[in-house]
Amino acid sequence: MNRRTGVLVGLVVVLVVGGILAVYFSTGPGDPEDPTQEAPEEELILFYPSRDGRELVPVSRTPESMPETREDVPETVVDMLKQVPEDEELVAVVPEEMSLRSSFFEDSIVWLDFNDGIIGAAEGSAGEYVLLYSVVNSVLANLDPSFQMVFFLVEGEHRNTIGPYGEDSGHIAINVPLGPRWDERP
Amino acid sequence: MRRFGVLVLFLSFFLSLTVMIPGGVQADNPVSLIDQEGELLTNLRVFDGGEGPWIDIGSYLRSLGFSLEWDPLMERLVARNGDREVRLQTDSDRHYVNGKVRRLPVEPKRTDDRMFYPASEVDEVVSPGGDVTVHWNAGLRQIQLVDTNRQSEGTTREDPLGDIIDQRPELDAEEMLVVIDPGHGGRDPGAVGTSGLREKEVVLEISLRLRDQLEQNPDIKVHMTRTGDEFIPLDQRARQANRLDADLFVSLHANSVPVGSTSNASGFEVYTLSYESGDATDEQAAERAETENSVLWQYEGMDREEVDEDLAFIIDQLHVSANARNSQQFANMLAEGLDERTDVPNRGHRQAPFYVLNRAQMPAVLFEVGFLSNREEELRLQTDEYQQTIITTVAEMLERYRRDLY
Repeated sequence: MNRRTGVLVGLVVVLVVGGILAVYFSTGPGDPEDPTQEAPEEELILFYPSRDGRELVPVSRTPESMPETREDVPETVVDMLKQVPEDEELVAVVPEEMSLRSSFFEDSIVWLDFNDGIIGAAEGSAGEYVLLYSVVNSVLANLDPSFQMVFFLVEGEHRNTIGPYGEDSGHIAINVPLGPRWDERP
Repeated sequence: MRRFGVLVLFLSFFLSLTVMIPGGVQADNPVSLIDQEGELLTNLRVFDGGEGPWIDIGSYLRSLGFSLEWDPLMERLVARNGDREVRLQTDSDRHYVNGKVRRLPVEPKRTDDRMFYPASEVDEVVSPGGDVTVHWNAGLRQIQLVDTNRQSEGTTREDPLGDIIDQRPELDAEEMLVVIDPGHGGRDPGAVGTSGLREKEVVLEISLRLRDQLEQNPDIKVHMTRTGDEFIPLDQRARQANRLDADLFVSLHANSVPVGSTSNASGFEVYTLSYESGDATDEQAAERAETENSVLWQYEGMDREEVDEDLAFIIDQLHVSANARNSQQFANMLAEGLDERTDVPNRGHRQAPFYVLNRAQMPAVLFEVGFLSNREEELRLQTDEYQQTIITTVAEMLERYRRDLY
């Protein structure tokens, strides 16, 4: 084998290996660009606060219709969170008037755009905490683990808090993406 | 003629570019710097950096009596006035006052050999000194120096920062400056109890009593973010503490559960700021903090000139971590301290990205003293006995924290 042939063979090997790796990673389970993947098949996991507000408890529930793609997951989850849980030790905290306008996915972040029903939907630190993180946990638990954070928008815009007396009157900042509150991914 | 036409076209294109390009330095329409007597000190050159005018920060500092030095290697403006030194770095939110790092809300920009900073945030850079504070008047495009002593003589307080002596008071080495922040106020009542008790009133009452008790301790100095029924935006509460270079920020609140829920939540809890990071567990965060702590101690006390910029950046980040650790330490002390003194449920210490804590550049906690949404707790919060238990606990834990720290 002369030197030119050696270089050629090396190039072919690099291209083949590179191609295989590219195909593997482009279709891998963590690909946030693929909207058809990862829709749950039978049940959704929802996080409800305990009655004393100390814990967010995961519960498996079957929705009336399963989301077909991951794009449908957040809306289904938010609607289900409004329903009263069967376990009397858990409470529903997402009010009827709070609804999701749209959601989109970017890198490891899920963007949730709510209507203004989210403003003032909770009072106090504990109230905001259980409201926001029950949504964060429930949405992320039903998506691919590559999605790590939730970014809230209100009526399509960034807002500092969900405080009812102006965005500088609430408690928890929603101008940053929120990560989940669980000890272990369910 | 054809050549002339091309020339005209070229010139028109060039002129249109100069009109269209945003972000240029504007010599006209300057921002005025007005002294305490209302006299014009100077007109400051302005840069259109977005979100209102950006002023030539060098000229501003020079007008306040600072001498300036430009460090071209570090892209840094160094301003000195007596024993005060301020360093501002281009495109960096790190800002040094007498060698101590602070975070600026906006990064300074450099253009036309000058450094620019938003006029609306200029009070974050450095105080003029003494009893003088800075007020940005957007309508008049004026930065006004205000004598706080004079302002306090019977005038109405329009700017919640207006009556702060805009500098850390002289403290002995073992003394500590604490900012007490009664939550809500003014148009924001906060949570409202089942019988109508308003959060803004009960936390103000407790805070004022706490201040009075702390005044008995010669080693703890107190500043209140509000002493009356005023609305103060969250970021300005923390900004007050930053401008005073306080040692600790304590925000007092009363809790509630989501509107219309059937929750029976009760008890007290203490929150500190979390830096959201996806799936990181508390154990992982604690492990990381431990490592950072050991690194920080190696560089503690080292002159910043001795270390390169990357290392300085890392050290700054470690200081942020140190603030987080001290916040958590005080939060745990508060929760355990109150737990020992009462039968009220202890909900412990939790972390979340609280907006008011996020702007504080020192250890900071938010103390929820009880649930107004719980009838029993609403009644308890109004009793002298429970209020005094809270006050005694906070005062004693502050003293213990001070002794641990110094």
